[in-house]
Amino acid sequence: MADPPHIAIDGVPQNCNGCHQIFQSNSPAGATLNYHQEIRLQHGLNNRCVNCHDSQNRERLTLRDGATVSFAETPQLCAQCHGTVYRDWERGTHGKTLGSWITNSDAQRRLSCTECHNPHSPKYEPYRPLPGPNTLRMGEQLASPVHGAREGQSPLQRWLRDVDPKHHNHATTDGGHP
Amino acid sequence: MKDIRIWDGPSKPASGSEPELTRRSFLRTGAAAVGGMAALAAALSPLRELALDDIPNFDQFLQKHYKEMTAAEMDQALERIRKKVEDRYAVRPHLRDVKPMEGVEFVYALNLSRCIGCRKCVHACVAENNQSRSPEIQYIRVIEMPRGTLDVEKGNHHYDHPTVPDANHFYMPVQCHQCANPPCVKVCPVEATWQEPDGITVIDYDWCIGCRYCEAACPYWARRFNFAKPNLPKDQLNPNMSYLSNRPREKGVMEKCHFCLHRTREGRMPACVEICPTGARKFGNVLDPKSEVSEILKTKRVFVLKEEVGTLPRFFYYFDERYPNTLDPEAVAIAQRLKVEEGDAYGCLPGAAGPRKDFVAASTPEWWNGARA
Amino acid sequence: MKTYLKFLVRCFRLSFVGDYRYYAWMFMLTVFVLLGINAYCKQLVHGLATTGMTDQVSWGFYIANFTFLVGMAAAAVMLVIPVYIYRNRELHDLVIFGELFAVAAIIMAMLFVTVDLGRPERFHHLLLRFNFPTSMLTWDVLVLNGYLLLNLHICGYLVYCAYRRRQPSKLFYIPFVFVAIVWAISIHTVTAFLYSGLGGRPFWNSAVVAPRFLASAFAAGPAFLILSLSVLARFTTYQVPAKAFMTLRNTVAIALSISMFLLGSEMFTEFYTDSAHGASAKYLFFGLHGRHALVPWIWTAIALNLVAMLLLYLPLSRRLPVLQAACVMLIVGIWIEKGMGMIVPAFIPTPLGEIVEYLPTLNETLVTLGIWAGGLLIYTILVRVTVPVLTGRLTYDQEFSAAMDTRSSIVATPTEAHS
Repeated sequence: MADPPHIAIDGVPQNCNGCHQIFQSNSPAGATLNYHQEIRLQHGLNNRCVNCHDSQNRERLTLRDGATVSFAETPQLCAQCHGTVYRDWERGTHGKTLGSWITNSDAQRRLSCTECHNPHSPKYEPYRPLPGPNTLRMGEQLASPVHGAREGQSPLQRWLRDVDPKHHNHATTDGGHP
Repeated sequence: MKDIRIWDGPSKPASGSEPELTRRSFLRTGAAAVGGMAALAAALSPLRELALDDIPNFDQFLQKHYKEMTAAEMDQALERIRKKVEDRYAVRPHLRDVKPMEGVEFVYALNLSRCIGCRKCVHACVAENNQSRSPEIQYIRVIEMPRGTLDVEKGNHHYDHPTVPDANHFYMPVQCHQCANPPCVKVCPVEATWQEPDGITVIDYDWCIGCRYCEAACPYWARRFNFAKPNLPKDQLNPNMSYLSNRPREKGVMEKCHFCLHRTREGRMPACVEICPTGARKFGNVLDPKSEVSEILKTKRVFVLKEEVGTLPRFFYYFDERYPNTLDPEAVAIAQRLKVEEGDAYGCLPGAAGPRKDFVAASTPEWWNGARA
Repeated sequence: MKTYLKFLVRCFRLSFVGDYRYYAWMFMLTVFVLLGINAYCKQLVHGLATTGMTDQVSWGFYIANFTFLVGMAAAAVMLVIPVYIYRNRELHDLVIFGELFAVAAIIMAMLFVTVDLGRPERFHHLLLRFNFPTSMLTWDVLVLNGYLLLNLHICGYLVYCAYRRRQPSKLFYIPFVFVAIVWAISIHTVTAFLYSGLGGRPFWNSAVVAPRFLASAFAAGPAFLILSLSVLARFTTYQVPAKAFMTLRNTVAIALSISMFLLGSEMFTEFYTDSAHGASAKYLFFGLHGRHALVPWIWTAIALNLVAMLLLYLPLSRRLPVLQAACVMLIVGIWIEKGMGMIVPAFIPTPLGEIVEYLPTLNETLVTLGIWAGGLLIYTILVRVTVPVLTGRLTYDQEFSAAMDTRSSIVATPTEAHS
């Protein structure tokens, strides 16, 4: 995440304070939002913008003691409530590490909280799973036993029947990979 | 040996000479011989369909076992394989023989609280490791398990929900566990599979005779056999390959997960770790006390599959201590009820300045701090 | 040396001589062999995908037949033991037929392993990096080849001595006979250890596998010999003493009883314990999660074995046809129990709990039949050559035509045989 965050309004890059210095949010409770309609705030008990966003400087995040941190220091903010997870993340037992498994190598990079979680709705969206095992799905009863039971037994068999040895290239086009 | 009387039978007097070779018997014998040869030729006729590149050439036939090859012989073998790949896939592969690193023993850890069963790892693995697409060979099997059991027999390999995770299940991916006491290595009659110093059990695809004893011996169903000629579309070949890992295989040999050794021996992450969207997969060097996997082994409750078979897997499963509330709305309600207490337990009362690090430090054992220092 | 070569040439020529029944039998076997070769060539071209085997059930018909045949080969000693240890005279001359069958069975067993290989052309890798003594498969390679050589030596030596009308020298075969007795038990034990040593397959991982293998082999082997001696008595002038059948009958009855007892012990342990490890046994005997392909097979096998056992204990089976019927039932029963009943269910469910059933394909069946036909072809030729030698019709000092005289000497008409 860029720090401080910016957004393109009518193609012009703007920082948060570009608007918020002009339009002071007069509703600290954040009851209604006229802007940021795309944000679905589904963060459990944490249901107010200014719990995290500093009400004075929108390019900073606020901690519970009033101190502010930059957007790059998000983990400090999240840690206030998610202590166990923060502890695990520090050890590397929670979260995702990319680049290299070699500890402290230059290539190693541990993703921070908001690189995986949407801070406004941290719960993961449900995924469409990728296809399950296909070719080796043997012994499954065929829906319609058109072919003999023996042939229907094994997808390897079905595969072999489909791949006429004279048309080996035909099979290449229908690989199991999505 | 008087009691052996096997020559005692009634002997007939010799009658005449050896039978004459008559014209008729010659013709008959000849016809039978010709007929026999023709029948044999007909029986052998399917061999005509053998693809030329299926038949090992002289170099391949004489190629030595991996451990016996000199550097020059290995170069020669690599060049032969490069050529073959180029002929078959029209891509010049970046093929080399990557050796294990000193002081490294790889260990894998998988967080069952975080796995959502999306099967991205399965397909990333296939894309990385040049498995046959049809018939399909996959190294990772994700099993959908009902809550309340670890009995794989109750699991479902073929779950097909519109979305995952399903609220009533958890997901357990299984792949080669790179056992420290691997039964597959023990049973191989030709030493075509062995354990490397970094803990990875590898296969010399040019040495395997395809008896599938290792497949029968593996308690994790991690090994796969090429029942037919692997079929890999040209445009899906991963040209970054090594001798012991993802170079294209032949028909009739075994293969299995090798922790992406062509990546990991160069410091990179395995493909399945890299793709995992939830960070459920963890990989590293267990000999390094600061590595992520060492931290997991020290601080998490881990378990291995089928510990009773004594294979000493290098693949550990673990759970997060807290029930993953992302999967369970009830947990959210509980959290609401407990909000104060829970925050208190970890030094993050509302209004406190972040987690009190001293608290975290004080609540962990001595050796853990030592390892962190 | 020259005499020996002439002996071999004569044996070779003799194997092409016989009456119409002999030709018909050999022609049929040859047809099956050729069909088998054809099917194997297809397997070579397309890979083992031509079989019903899968990653889930990675061993099938081939290995099942291999296991059964190793047992049959080992069972040759069930004739040797009474002769050389208990000095049982009835079986004396018959020992050689048992050992000839051992030779044929070992060759078949080795062929079954060979066709099961994915890369048979790399067979020489066994010689270059032999994982001995760690891999039980290498033990099997050693003991099977050793057993083949032992039996070839014993049979070959005795037959050649008879051909030369020489007294066989004790030194040249008695020690080998005793080694062969121990060795025979070892081949089947090693084959059992091949399976029972795998911790990941609870169905096999049982100490009773080796005793069970031996017991069932010592029932099926002599049963097969009863059948082949019956054929011999019917179609050749060779005299098979009636008492030999009765001795074999006792052997079969006792071995089969022990085999059934061990099967019962195994079933008790699996089903009374009722642990997760019994899943394969449950699948085999009762079906699992609606899959029960093997259930009819195993109960057929058990029924056949029980009926055979009952018959063998009844005086009724002193009559040859009844004895033969019991032997056929028993061989089929043990073949199912040891093949489909022992090898296949260990893979179902898989270690990851998947249930995939197995049925051999047509191609696989043809290869299997081809090997069986080949083995019987070898056995027939061996017996065909041995009988005239043992009955003194083919010796070095007689003209070949004596042995060639098919009508009067080799293949007797039924009336002659009964006289």
